[in-house]
Amino acid sequence: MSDPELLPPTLQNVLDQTTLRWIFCGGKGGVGKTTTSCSLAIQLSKVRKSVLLISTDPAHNLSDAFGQKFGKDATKVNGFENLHAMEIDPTSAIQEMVENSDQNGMMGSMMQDLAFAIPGVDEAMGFAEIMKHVKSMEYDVIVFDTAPTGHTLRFLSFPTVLEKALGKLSSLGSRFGPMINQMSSIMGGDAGSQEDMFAKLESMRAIITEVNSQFKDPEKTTFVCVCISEFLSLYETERLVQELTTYEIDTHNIVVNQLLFPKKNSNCENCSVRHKMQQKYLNEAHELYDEFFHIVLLPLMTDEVRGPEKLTEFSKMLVEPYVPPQD
Amino acid sequence: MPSLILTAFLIVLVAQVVSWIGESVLCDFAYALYLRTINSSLVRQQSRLKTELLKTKQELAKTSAQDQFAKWAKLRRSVDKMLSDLEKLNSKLSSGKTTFTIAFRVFLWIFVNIPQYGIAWRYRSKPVFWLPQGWFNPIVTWWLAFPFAPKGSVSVMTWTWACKYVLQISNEAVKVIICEFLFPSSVSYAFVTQCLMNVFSASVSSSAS
Repeated sequence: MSDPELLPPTLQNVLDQTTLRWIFCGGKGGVGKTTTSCSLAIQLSKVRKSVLLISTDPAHNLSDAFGQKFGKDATKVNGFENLHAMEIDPTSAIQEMVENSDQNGMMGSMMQDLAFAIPGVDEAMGFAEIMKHVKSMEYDVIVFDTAPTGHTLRFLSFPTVLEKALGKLSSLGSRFGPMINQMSSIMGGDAGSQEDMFAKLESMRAIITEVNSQFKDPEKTTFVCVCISEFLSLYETERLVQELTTYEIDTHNIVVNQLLFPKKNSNCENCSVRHKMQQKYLNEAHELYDEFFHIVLLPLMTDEVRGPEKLTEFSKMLVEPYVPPQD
Repeated sequence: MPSLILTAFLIVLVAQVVSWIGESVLCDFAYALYLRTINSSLVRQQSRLKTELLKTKQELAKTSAQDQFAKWAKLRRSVDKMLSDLEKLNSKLSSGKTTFTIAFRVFLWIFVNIPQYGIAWRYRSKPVFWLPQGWFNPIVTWWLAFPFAPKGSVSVMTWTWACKYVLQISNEAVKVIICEFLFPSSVSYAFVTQCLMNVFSASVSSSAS
């Protein structure tokens, strides 16, 4: 572990990389993703002009963490000048879109069928919707607090399939457009609405393509894996890393959370046993990831990390490595 | 013109041999040859990857994920990588086979059919050999010279037809003889008649057409 070439165990590299626009925090549930992403956002807000923190987790924790209610619109976080936060449910975004298009009658329901016929399209479109929202806003960097594991990014595994499917559909539209038009007028539908639909599909495809290209650019996007020093969490992290590699999404940071550092004279049996186990898996993690990853170690706090002050305090450990108290 | 008579016969013989062996058998054989000679590196790579994959998988099964997570994960990564490599290689090979099969079939078709049509067209008005006068009645004589050969001779087309049918019939005959030779005692009377019937029907159908 005392390798001189070891990458520094901090997230300073994320703060220093000014080209970054999208930062994802992900991992298994309950490992402290929200705390990490909030801390990271706080640290970023010190070095960037403006930071947006978005939670895409249906079980929203941002409000909890900051002790402030956030909604679908970006709200300034109390106590910070340039930090905003919002909570979005990606699947509800598409539902909204489908409901909006439902007014067109038959074409609306067809749109709905289409939207759910292609696997992952709902999530992809949810993200696309978020992107559309966010693109119109001016933020230096956007931190995502994602839903448990990398499945939020599942749609990135078949961008080509998705693009092909949508491309086929739109080419079909131009070929069979007149026929569909006639059919729908016979069935009493609204002629011309199908053109509308294909235009919509085409624009959706454009957005998804753009999102993909942005996410695959390591200059613009990085993924911070959060885990705890336990077998299952480590296993999930390894899978997440592999998945991200296949999606070509850059990842070079692993945050190991909730580490125990019992005092030498402590007689807490649970603590020492747990500490031993954590050290074992930590060693494995070091052996596995040392070459390419910054491994950030964070201690388990004795109280819940809630509220801006505590988060700010906690966030300092992302930049300065935590040193367990010596006695 | 003894060379024309022989050439036409050889061309038909080649076509018949190809049809006896069967296109697919020839194709498989040619593909195996092609892999051995020209594309051998890919095949060797595939077999090497397979053995390596098996070895790594065994090692993975022996490694405990809980106790040696780093080693386990590294093995797992290499297995995943090898699997995807193998898949790519397999698809490459199979797509190569499809292309090869199509190309080979086209080549075979040209090789078998073009000479037949070519010779029939090139020497359409040449006699293959002359018939003694007065052997057949005028209609048969005309038919033997069909389409453009001089009257009283045998045309290339008729000659190739004749060669073809003789070869087909002799093929059947050889089959029967082989049956007879391989199963001299066990062969039943019905089987022999079946074989003979086959020969007969083949000759009848060929002469009818």
